Amino acid sequence: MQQIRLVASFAMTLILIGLVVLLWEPSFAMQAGSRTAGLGSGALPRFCIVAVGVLAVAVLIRDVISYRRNGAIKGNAEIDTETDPRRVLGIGLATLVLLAGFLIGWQLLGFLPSSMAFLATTSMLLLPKVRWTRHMLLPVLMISILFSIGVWAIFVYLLQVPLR
Amino acid sequence: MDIITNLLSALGDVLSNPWGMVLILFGVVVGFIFGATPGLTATMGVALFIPLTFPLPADLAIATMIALYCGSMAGGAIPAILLNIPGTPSAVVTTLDGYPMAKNGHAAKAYGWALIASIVGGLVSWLVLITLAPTLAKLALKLGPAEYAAIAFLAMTIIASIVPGQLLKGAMAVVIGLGLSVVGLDPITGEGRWTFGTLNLMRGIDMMPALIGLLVIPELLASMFARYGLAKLPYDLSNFLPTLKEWSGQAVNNLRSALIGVAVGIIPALGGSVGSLIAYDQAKRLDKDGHLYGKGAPGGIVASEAANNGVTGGALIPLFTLGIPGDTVTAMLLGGLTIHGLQPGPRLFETSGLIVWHILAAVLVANLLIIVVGLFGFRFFIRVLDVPRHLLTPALFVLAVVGTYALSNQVFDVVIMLVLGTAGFLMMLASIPVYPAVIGVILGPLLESELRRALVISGGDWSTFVTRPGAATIIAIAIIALFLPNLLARLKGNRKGSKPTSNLEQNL
Repeated sequence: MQQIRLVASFAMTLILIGLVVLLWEPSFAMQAGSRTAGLGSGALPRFCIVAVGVLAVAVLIRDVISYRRNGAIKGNAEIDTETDPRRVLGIGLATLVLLAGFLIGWQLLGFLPSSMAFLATTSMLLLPKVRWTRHMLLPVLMISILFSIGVWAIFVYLLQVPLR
Repeated sequence: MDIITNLLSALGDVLSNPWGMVLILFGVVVGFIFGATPGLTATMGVALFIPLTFPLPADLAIATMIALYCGSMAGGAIPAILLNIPGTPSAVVTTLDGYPMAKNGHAAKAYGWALIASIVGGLVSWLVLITLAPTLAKLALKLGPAEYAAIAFLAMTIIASIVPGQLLKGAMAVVIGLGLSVVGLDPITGEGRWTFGTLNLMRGIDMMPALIGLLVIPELLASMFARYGLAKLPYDLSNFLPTLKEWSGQAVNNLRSALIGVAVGIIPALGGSVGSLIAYDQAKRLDKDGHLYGKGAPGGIVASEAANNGVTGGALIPLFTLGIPGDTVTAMLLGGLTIHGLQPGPRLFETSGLIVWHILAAVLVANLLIIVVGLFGFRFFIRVLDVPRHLLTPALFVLAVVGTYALSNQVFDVVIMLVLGTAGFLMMLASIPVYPAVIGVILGPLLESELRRALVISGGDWSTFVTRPGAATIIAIAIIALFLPNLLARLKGNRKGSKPTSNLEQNL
């Protein structure tokens, strides 16, 4: 699990550095300020990308040093370090992919079918494979259908939100 | 006199509105459910239910959300006592004495102590809220742009530095949040910033999708990996409330802990867990039976629960008077207030005074309803602990997605929520605190606009932040707050080598 945390730290640094590179030119194209008027529209963007770039690298260096010394990166672990890292990555990433799929499916097929599919798939993802019996899967399907219809009805008829 | 007149009038309106009373009761019950279920938090509850409050009048909507907040603080004690797992982060300290009491066969009594302490804590915090908030609001009207910019800076530095040894990560998270607030049109010149010419990005990143993405999605993901046991209902639920004589032995502890909770709640970012920790530590030192703490002492439960409910009123004070949230739940409430057309800050009492007093009256009613809900709902809330995770968590994801969409019927908001949710998950894995990023998103526009306004007034002269006494004092406090936790942690580390650690430190 500590290795996953270190890899996450690397990933965050890479993403942030990537954003710094992407946003560098637009930030420095804006006016930072004048002597009489103080700060311009470019002041905060410039500050953010420079600060994020410096801090991201500093944080990564600190995490690497901490990992090499103590076997763990600095900071509180929100997820129990005893948790199987494959479970964290597998279920975590799969859920995020399913959420993206839910959103895409909503636009293409409509709210109800995509919501039912998301609920059923995510529930099965959280169930250990040994429990994938008809006895467990039928309630999952029923609840996915009923919950989706219930949410749709509340939002469309009570809250007047058009869920296509 | 003004306060009493306004309050009595508002209380009369609230009590004479049956629909309002039902909504407040609903808020408390839902709060208890969210508080009692490990993995679910008050922040999540408020975020997911805000869209459901759209058709409601502003005062009822906000009152329902605050009732949810108060209920969740009280509900967090249930799994803390029965399972040794806090229902909310604020109930961590309740496990220290609540679970040992349950193991000794006194689970119901432990819960009774928690319930009474929660109510007293909530009532004390409410009294401080109605006394201080109007006065602070009048004071805040006298503040200028330099002072406002300094306050926003102070809030960010406190939040960035709250955990010793994580200053770099906290600071980075704040700057990430500031960066998110930059996207869109410049508030003064109207120039597009980081928009790449797209219409969606010109709208900027809305606060609510950002909050739901950063706070709710990572928490839901983390709850998928947690392991929870099954709760057993205590055999005997009769006489579980402490008698008046028993409570009088803990009265001073109860009141002191509530006040500690209020004080902690006023300071942004500290939250219920810090409040209950400080209150527990004080109670243990000052109680003649302090040596029994950690083994099932009622005083430990009282201190923790009084403080975490005390935080609720304290956190509302900076929210209402300055527009600065005291914790993650009030950050969500800020979004809720804005959605319902209320602008939190010093002018809130001027522009929407009637609505605010109705909300304050409803907070009193919510705190009183905690005893009703807690007394009659205990058996039900224990059953809630057994709802299968594989059904509950996906349902909450759907509510998060639909709720975000419902805010302005924009798919782009959901995209932002998912992108930031992914980023929040990565940040959680990398132990980068997310709450500073949330505060950066919320306070970034305030900091930038007030900073620029102050410099325009002073003709570009930065010394205005040093020559104005208010601004100078606040900035000095901010600088001290930035470095003090680390300094104290280092001094403590040096002393630990020579002194044995206290039971509290060992337990935590």
